[in-house]
Amino acid sequence: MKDQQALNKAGRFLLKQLSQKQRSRLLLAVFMGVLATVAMIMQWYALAQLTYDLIIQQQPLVEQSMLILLMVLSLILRSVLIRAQEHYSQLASLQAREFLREQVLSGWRQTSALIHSQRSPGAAASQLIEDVESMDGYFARFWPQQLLAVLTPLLILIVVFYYNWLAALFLLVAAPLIPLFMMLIGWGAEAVNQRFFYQRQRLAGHFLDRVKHLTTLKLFAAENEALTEVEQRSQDYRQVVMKTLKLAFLSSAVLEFFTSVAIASIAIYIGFALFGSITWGPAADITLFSGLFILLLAPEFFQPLRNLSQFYHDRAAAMAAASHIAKHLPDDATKSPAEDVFELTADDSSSILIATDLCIGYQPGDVLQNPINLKLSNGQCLVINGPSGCGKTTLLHTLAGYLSPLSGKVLLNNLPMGKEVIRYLPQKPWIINGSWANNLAVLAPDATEKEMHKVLSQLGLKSLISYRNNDLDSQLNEHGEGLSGGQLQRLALARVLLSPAPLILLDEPTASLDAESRQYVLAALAALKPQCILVISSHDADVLALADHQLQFARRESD
Amino acid sequence: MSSHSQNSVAPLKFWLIKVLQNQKKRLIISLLLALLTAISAMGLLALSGWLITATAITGLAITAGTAVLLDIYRPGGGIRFFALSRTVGRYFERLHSHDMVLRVIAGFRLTLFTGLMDLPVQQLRNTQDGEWLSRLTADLDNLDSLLLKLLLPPMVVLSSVLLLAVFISFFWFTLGVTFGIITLLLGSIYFSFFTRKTSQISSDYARQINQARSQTIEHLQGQLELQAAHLQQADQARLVSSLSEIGKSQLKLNRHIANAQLIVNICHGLLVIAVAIAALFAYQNQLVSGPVAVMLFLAVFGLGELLLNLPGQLGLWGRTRYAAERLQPLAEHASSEKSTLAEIERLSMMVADHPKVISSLDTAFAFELNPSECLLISGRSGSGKSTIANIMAGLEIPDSFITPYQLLINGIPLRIDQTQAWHKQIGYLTQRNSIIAATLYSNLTLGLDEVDEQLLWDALTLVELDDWAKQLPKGLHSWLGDTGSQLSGGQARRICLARLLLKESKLILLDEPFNGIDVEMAERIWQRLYPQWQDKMLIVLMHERPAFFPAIDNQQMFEINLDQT
Repeated sequence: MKDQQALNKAGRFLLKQLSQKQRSRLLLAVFMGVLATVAMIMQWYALAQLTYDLIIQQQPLVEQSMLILLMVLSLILRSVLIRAQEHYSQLASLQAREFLREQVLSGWRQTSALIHSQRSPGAAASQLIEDVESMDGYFARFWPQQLLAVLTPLLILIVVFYYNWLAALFLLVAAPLIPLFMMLIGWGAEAVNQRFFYQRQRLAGHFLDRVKHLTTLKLFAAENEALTEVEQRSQDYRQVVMKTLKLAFLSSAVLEFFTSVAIASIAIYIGFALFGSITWGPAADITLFSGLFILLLAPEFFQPLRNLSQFYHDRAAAMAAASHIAKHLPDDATKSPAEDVFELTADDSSSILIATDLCIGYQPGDVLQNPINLKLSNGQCLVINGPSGCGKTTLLHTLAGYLSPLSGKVLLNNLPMGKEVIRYLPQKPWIINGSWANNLAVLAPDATEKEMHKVLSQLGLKSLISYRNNDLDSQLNEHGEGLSGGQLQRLALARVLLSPAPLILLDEPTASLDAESRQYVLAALAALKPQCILVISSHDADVLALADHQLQFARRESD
Repeated sequence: MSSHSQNSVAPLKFWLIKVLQNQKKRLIISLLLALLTAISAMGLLALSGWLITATAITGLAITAGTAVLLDIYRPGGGIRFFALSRTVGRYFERLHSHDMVLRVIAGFRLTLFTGLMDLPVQQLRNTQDGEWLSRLTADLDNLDSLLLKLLLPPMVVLSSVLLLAVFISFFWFTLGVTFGIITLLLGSIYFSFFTRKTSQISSDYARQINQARSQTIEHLQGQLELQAAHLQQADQARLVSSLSEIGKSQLKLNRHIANAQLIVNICHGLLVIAVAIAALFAYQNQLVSGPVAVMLFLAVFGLGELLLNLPGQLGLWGRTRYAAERLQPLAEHASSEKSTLAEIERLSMMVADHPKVISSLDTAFAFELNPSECLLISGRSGSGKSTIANIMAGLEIPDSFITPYQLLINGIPLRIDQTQAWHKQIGYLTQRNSIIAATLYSNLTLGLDEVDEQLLWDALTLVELDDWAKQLPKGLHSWLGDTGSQLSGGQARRICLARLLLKESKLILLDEPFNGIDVEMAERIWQRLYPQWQDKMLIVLMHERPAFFPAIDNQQMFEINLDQT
């Protein structure tokens, strides 16, 4: 619970920070909104005056062209000003979201790849996309309305006060209630949002769980059971939500009630005053003009508040999204990422990797293997061997700088790991949805087409693209469908051949490969070896043959 | 995609028909309540205007010395009534319509689930894809705009305009008819134009969101390689351009809505002015009285409140349509025919040239199995064991006879319409543990009607989970899954094994049965389970043959090694 509060606070802070950055645009939007109120007052002034002139003064309609013109012009002006208000608030919202996305992306650059690989990419992606998107309403609608909900009623109150202080008093009585309204609305909306959200998530979670396990449900012939359950859940959910809504809608009903009662009492007061039944106070000065004018302004007095209550869910949605995002943002996301700080030393031909008393593992108390000591220089190859779960990949992660050593040291060219450009090939190669050229360029941005062709034929992949007509522009689809695991592994190696680095880490490069692919991969490894330090985790005897050093990891007892 | 298909209302209609089938009465009540609120709002202003004008005229006449009678208490009461009915109407309208929407969405969820269940299992296998799942819920959520935003508000506006036109024509026929015709004409032009415009942008927007999402996921999946190469920022450049596309479309959509709002505001303002001038003109020509003239234009003024949110609500048209379109094929899948299947006496299988079974690319293999026989299929990870298991379980069925694999039950190939009957005969332990979010009891008795709790305890004892289950807060009725007790991989595995023990099956198919279980315990469990399954066909798929396995005698115990090519 406390964690949630801290997160909410962080979310609020993030929203405040973002609106601070867009302050000038947002204030401009508010200014336009205030001007629109002035135009609106002019418009109803003209209408009330027109009615008075025609009905009470019995003037002919044709003489009223000035008032009609004023009415039409102020109508157009008001509409245009509202449009301008939206223009600025929408721009502010767009900029705020773009800025936030940059912050999220920069945060990602500072997060270890290992942490990324443990997080669901779908969840992280929806933070960057849906969560940021759901903040639109906060900037585009809620923020300006927050100020307008105070300023617009104030302006109207001044005008009404000028014509009839008692009617203004009616509105003023409602005015101290405004903060109360806001609180009521706020509580209502908050309650709806929290409980509703929680319940909704549970329901969605249950539904998704059953969809996820549909195969199991079918294998166990439990389809009808699940169907009844889904139905029951939906009904329960509806009953719980309706209970909450009954209360939440009551708060907006209060606002509605005050609006209606204020209009009704003003109308009745004016009517009685005009009739002569009320004579005290400013009643004697009331005419059809001022009475009608005040009546027309009364609903406008409450409209901004009603709008605010409608936009309240925008705030709640933005708050939820902001606390989500704030959770994963590093403390100072604006700091420039580490990759710019260090000069590349690729031309340094004598790379050296030294590990002293290196202990690896994920938790301080749980060291996976005995301390490792090694020294590797250019042209040397280390092969790590051992049963699964013994820490082979953990060592590769440590060497890549994704995981800090539990104790001891490991340095590449006297720099801590992660500072130098290296290459890492995970067991499952990374394939993007794009052409062969895109897939190569994404990790070898400087490679020319000629080089790509050369490397692809070196790895025996040339035939794959040449019999598809588009050469390097042939498409590879998302998970590399249509290509075997071996061909994908060769594609990953092609990237390394195109843009080698002083240290290359490979995780099981020949596991489950067909015979042909294995030969190509082994040849590529042999070709790479003289230019760099190779660290490979593998059981393959042919890979072991490449090794200058070998690390034999023991089976872990606890597994 | 052609613009025709993007604007087709067919998907919305599909879901709407489902609503009308079940919730017609509730829909009408919601509409009536909304109408009551709208009429009260207009009535409040109109009656107030009438009162003010009437009292002003009468007041002046009294001052001038004429004796005029005016009942000001009855209109005052009317005003108070409208004030109250507006509040009460609004409250119940919201309550009722939300209740209806929840019912409707519950119905949609059920339709969707039934549709998904009728899909052949092959197509279902991508349901493990979290991305697809979250899109499914998002689409389902988007459908609730259908009633609250797209259907009810325009209907309320339409009926209010019609009622208002009738009301006006009661006093001055020409004005009422003219008002009605002009308003409806403007409204329908606006409606069709606006929905067409926004529909296009909304579906572009939804498409761009999906594209940016998959690019983002791609980017995140490449972190291991990108971070090592210090190329994260370069790859993010690709993303940033997709993200800015989203921003542009969203801004475009909002601009359209804002422009629509501008047009609606001006049109409504002009209508108020036009009706005011016409009514005052009518007053001067003694067609209507002064109070009535004011009442008429104030009623039109009151209409503005209803129009205020219309553009924003209709702006959801495209998004809702897009969601409706994507869910429709999943929901309308006709229940496929189910055929029976003879009881299995002999299982045969052959695999050749299957892209996912590496060894079959070089050498084909085949086997035949009878009751009381046990087959061990071994091979390291990635060699295609799970593919073979899925074929045997009927989760992957060739759609023609010319395929690289064949599964024969009693010598006859298994057909897709027989899978349900086939599943009743087999017990398949999938490689991935499948624990549903429910109680331990429900997990164990999945698909079973009534089970004696003692049987459950017996099964739990066999997999050494009885002690664990006893110390759970609610025993057998403790909650498992995402929100419940945390299970270790080994515990989950053993629950799946116990579940399998409780199911009547002819063929037992175990894919890596001892994943996450240490060797000693695996041996103990195996020694207890093997006798239970002695008279059945038993197929075990493992990365290597464990030492405690019975020796291969090629009589009762067979082995196929996928690594030996």
